Amino acid sequence: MKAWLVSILLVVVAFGFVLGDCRSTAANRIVLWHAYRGAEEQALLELTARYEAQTGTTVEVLAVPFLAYASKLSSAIERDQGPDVFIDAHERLGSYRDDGLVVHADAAFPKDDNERYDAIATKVARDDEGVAWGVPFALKGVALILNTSLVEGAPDSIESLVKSRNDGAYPLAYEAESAYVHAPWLHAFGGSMLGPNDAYGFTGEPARKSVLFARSLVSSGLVPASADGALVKQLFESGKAAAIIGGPGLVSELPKGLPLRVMPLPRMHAAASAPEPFLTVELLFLAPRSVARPEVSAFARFLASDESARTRVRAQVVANAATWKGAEAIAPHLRAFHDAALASRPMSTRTAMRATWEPVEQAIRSAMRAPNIDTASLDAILVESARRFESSKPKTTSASKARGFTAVAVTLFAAALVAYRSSRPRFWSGLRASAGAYAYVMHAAIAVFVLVVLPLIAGAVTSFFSGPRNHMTYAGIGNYVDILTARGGPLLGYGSFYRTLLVTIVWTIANVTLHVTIGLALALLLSRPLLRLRGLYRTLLIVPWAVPSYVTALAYKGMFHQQFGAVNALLRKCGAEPVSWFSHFSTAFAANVATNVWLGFPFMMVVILGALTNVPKDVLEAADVDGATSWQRFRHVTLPLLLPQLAPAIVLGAVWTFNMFNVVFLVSGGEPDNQTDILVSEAYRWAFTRHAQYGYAAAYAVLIFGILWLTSRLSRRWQTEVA
Amino acid sequence: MPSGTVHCCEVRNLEKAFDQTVVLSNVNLAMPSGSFTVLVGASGCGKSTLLRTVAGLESPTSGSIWMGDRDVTALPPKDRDIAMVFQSYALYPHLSVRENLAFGLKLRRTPETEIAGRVAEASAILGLDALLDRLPKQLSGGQRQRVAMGRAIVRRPRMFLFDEPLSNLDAALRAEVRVDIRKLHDRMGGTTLYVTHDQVEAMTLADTLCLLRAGQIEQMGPPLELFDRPVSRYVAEFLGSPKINCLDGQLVYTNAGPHITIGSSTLSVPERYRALSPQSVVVGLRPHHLTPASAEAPQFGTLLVTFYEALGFETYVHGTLQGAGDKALVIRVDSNHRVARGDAIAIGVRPEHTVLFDPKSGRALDT
Ligand SMILES: Nc1ncnc2c1ncn2[C@@H]1O[C@H](COP(=O)(O)OP(=O)(O)OP(=O)(O)O)[C@@H](O)[C@H]1O
Ligand SMILES: [Mg+2]
Repeated sequence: MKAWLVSILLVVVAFGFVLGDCRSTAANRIVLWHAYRGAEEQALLELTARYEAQTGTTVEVLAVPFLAYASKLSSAIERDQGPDVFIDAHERLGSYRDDGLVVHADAAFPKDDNERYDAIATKVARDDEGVAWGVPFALKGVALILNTSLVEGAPDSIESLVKSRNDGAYPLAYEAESAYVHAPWLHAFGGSMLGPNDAYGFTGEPARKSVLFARSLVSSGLVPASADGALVKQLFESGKAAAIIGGPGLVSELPKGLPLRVMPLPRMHAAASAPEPFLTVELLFLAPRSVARPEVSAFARFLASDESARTRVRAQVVANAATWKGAEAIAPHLRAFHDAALASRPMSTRTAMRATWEPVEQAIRSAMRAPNIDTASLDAILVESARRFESSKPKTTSASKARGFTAVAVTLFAAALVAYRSSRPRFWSGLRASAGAYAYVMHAAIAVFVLVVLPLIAGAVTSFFSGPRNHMTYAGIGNYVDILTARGGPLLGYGSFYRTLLVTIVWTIANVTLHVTIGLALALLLSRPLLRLRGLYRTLLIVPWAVPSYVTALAYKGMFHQQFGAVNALLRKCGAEPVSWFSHFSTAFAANVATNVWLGFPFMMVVILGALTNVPKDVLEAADVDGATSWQRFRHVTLPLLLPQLAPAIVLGAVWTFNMFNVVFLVSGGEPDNQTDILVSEAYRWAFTRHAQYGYAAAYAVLIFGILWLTSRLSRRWQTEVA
Repeated sequence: MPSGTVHCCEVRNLEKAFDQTVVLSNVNLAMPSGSFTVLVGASGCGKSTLLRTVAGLESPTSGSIWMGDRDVTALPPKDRDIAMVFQSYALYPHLSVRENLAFGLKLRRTPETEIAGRVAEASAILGLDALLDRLPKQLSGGQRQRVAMGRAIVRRPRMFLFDEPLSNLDAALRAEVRVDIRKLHDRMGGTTLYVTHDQVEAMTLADTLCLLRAGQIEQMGPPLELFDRPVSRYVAEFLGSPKINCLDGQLVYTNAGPHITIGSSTLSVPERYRALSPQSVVVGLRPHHLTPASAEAPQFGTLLVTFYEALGFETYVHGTLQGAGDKALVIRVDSNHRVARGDAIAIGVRPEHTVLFDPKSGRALDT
């Protein structure tokens, strides 16, 4: 008993030390953050070690996982605990500047160094006034990767590549529905995703032509439809794709010995200009608190220097011009990526850029998957995607309106409180009477308050603000009004709260019904005393529960893939037409439900197995003697006796399913057209893809909470009824 | 059909084993229509198993069960036209008393009006009228027991099966319900198979008493026959309270004719044992047959009183038989007969009340 108390204390103390340690900044210590792995990380570590040896400075290198990078960075720097120098993509500069996470880096990138880097990188690192906001470091972009055993020579155009013969392999595979990989076609036809003044760019002739071009590639059957990154890689590795579009990271993950060749994307006959992929320039950024420390700037300069570049070029496409002109032996594929990078288009640094991906991809998907398409329907798709971009923009609520909303809300809340109080007249006296008892549960109460109530309050407070992070303005109940009026659109229109709520309810009912039915059927089978190998079956049936849900979700997503999934393979074997699962609401929804049923039935089965042992055997025998058939016995005796124990499990299961983000997000991802999104995944999109509107997402969360709270109140009455 | 008459229910050569354990063997039992058969026996002797096999809740390992002229061995309970009252009552906990009673009829799609009539009738007979809308958990043990019986009688089955239905009731209630059950049986006219380990119930209820011992029928017949003419010492000891006195003795022939010696006491031999050769015997003497010596019951020994139980209407006197190695003995005397510890009572028995058993096999020495 005491031993574990002591160990918990030790852990807490140790934790405190770790936290405390982050704060201390020794004068001679530089903290560097990056998201590299493999050879790139090795090169970086080698350089920092060399720098330490040369100067006696201590460099602390921290590798932060890519997906957590931005959020870790902002929260650390805001607390003055983050890195002195960090490596990140240039397109984040806009939001980092807005949030005050970076400062100018003129000391690390003096004007004299301009010639040192590729012109395209210098241009990205400096703003229009010529102020440097980072030091050019590396270039990232996509190029064409060829399997030389399947393609001979260099194709002179995309069209001729696609027409080339190569032993049944796809001539070309790429992520046809990814806006990032689609962008080269758009650029070739003279378009851009984000126009001047943050105008939506995926419109007009360029967008139309780019979509038709991509459609022609896929509909010819020579390019796989709806491929994702993993599939593209797999096709290439297994020799089923002669060429793919990808970046240096992809190449480094390919097995050694694959005969490959990298070249910039060839031109397109269909377009006047060459396809320009997006370019990301990785920059060394300086954190605000470190800008005044010359040794930090010196370190950054060192990392970006030509000399360091000689080390880094083993693993990445460095931004140093001289390195490429020199006679050094550089891996041919990196040289090709460098050539491709010089012909690329740097991504916009505007924050609005992030909000273009979702509508653009949506438009591409709809257009690619439509069985037939003509000018009118294509235009409709593009108009709709532009509308979505506009409607996802944060609305600005005027101050007077906000005050009005607030007044209404406060009045309503007060009224509710009064009503509640009067419905329980003895609440306060009861609280006072039991005050002594609360002393005993204080520790638990405090823990619950800190871990549950505080975040809840923080979330609720956030829901009264609008606008992107760090630029939130008070909006009163504006977010709620917006959501509940479906942002002024039709009540059951695209992305409306009510439509999503409806989908969520149908989703919950469908799932829970299937969970209970399947769980019940299996539990009844397993509880038969004569069944052999009962223990084995039980264990096997619980396995789906033991596998982490996201693993299962990803596996199911793969199984439902239109061309390569197991489900369609099975259908084809049976002579049925393969189904494009994620193109229609009903099939995508069914795929989600199938996944979630797989994940959820073991829980119900276990609960029911337990409950079944509580059904008295002699009561069942009495029913037998009374003349019941097995079905009648089940329907009139077993089931009613199970219900009291099943009811709480059903309520719990319903709440879990209502909020089952993993499955919806990972399996259908809301496809088609966000139609299969449920409330939580919709809230997620508002927080993380649509201009980062946390307040709006928080309002969604509060509404979800309210709905669940209300239903659980109502269900309690039902539970006592069946008990 | 091996037997000539058609019985309501007949068990033939029944054997039942759970895995390797044989629980019932060679059981033959015929229950004529309208009869009341009681199964008694020590705990674990297989009474419930036999009952449940008749009900169809267990299937026999071999042998067959007949109802009328139908072999029902393979039929499920619902097709046997039986009703059963469980020891735990096994009421449906989620149904009201009314629904519990109507359950079996509803399953058989009996018309609503008829259901209502039969429920009303049963509840009137059993005095359940005030309880009809309660749930089982809102009833006392005795009330539940009556509901369980009501559930059986509304069905008007050919046969009623009872598995120790009174064992959860207190003594007074048990005596009362016992009478009710017998009355009910006579009124309904069904055939009843009744399991109990209470010998008062067994003696008072049964037309035919069937005593099971380790899965086999030890003796079967009218209760008084088992009581007076037990086939074995086991049967004699099982029935009767206080238990029959069993004393080791010798059957000897002297000039005065045959007689039995128990230590220094001597007992004359009843007529029916006269043909036996001299041998060791176990002498069975029921306590209520042992009385203070009189003309009809000549003295055969002296009881030294160690203690006594005065029940008010009679008194059981415990003591030892003088000159018989201090053999313990219980006799019954009238309650007006004053006894005290240390008293010496001259006891006698009417010769015809003596039963003799073989000391080795425990079988009765009846010829
Ligand atoms: N399902 C079973 N599996 C194995 N053995 C069983 C089973 N049911 C009963 N038995 C055994 O069969 C024997 C007879 O059991 P049964 O319940 O018939 O006894 P009983 O005469 O009704 O006893 P009681 O008077 O205690 O109710 C017992 O030894 C018991 O252990
Ligand atoms: Mg029993």
